[in-house]
Amino acid sequence: MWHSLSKRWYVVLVIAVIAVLVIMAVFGVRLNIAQPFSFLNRIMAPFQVATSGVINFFADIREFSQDLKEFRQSKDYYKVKLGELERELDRMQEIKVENERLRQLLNFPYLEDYETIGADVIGYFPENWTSGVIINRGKRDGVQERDPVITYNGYLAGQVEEVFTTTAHVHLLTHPSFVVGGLIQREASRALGVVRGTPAGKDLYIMDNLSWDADVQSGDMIITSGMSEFFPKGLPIGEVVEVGVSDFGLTQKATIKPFIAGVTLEEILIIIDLQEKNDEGD
Amino acid sequence: MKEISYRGGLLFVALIIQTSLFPRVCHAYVCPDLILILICIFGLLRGSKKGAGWGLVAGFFQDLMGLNTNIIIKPLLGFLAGSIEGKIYKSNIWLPPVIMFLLSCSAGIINYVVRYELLFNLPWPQSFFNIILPGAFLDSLVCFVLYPILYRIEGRWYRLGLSY
Repeated sequence: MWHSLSKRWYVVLVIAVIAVLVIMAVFGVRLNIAQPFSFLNRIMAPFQVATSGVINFFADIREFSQDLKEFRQSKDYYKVKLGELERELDRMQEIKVENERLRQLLNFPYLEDYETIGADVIGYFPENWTSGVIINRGKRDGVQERDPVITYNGYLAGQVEEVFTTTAHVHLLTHPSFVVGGLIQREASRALGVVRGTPAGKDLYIMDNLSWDADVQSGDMIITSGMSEFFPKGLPIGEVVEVGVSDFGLTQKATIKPFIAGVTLEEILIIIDLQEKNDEGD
Repeated sequence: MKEISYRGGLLFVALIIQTSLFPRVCHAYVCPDLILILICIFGLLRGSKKGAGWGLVAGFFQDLMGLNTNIIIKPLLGFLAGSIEGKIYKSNIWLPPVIMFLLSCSAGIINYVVRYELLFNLPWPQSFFNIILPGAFLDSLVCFVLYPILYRIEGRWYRLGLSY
């Protein structure tokens, strides 16, 4: 076919391509070919799993030797720390029981405990503009679009964007269109803002739309506000590293170092029943 | 058939590397776009038809990973790279990295302008200096290494009469 095309046809083809690009730019059209050709994703998945497996194997060997060295050096410290944490856990259990009793007395709603499923990261988005991962869980496992994704430590990692039968695409916090409501986790503050990724450094976020008199300080922890129906309240996002003014002094903005910064995501958890619980609540 | 296995195989391996190895190696930094590099080298070595054709195939597979502009941008850049074929000496190994740099910058700029989620969420100067320019530099560097290798392989095939 290519050999039979004349030069004039090439010019027509190039103009057509440019026209499509202009339409995409002006009308914000997305060419989503991933869904109609999702079977190709299933073909690609085993290769991605195999490659990730090999990479993880070597990464694990390196990490193991580092961990072993670290453990030998700090064995005594961890023994003491473990004792302290066990005592702290006992105290927390007491507080939990007390908290439940007081909530019952005040008829205050319980904090929801969500059902999660684990998933392995089998691939990453192949470009520099966006941050996303491909996971080995899909519709078959009950994953739905917009399900929140967290790390094993409970830190917010992203949100499911597209779901296929056995795989799904997850937009990470650093994706340019990812936005989540944030809340300062300090008793004296509780200021609200909007957290979004920034290209200045892929590991830094901006929390803006903070009111001009909001009490924000370096070191404050940011958690999800729970204002959106797609994220539960209280998922840790990051820590404030810098506070500045925005919108000519009308608002403040904070630079945040996310807790998932510098962490290579190999496994994640997906909260799969948030949307159902929200529907039940309605 | 030989062409399909050779170029298709190269692109497939590049896609797997691009989706699994590179993000692990250059975490939080810019990675080279191996697929774009291969498409441009194919174009430079074999002309605009091959460049655009393989750009379309590679762009299609890349967009299966949740992206949406590669199916348009990759053939266009393959075509542009191929339109230079015949105007430069293929044995010149210094010019392809320069062309790669320019094409990579063009790809970045088109991506930025076309995708509204980038246009409305990322400030232009930061995007240009932190993503487009370093990406183009890396692409050009990788092209400097890959081009002579692929040139030799294709040259040998051509001499043996195995070319297409």
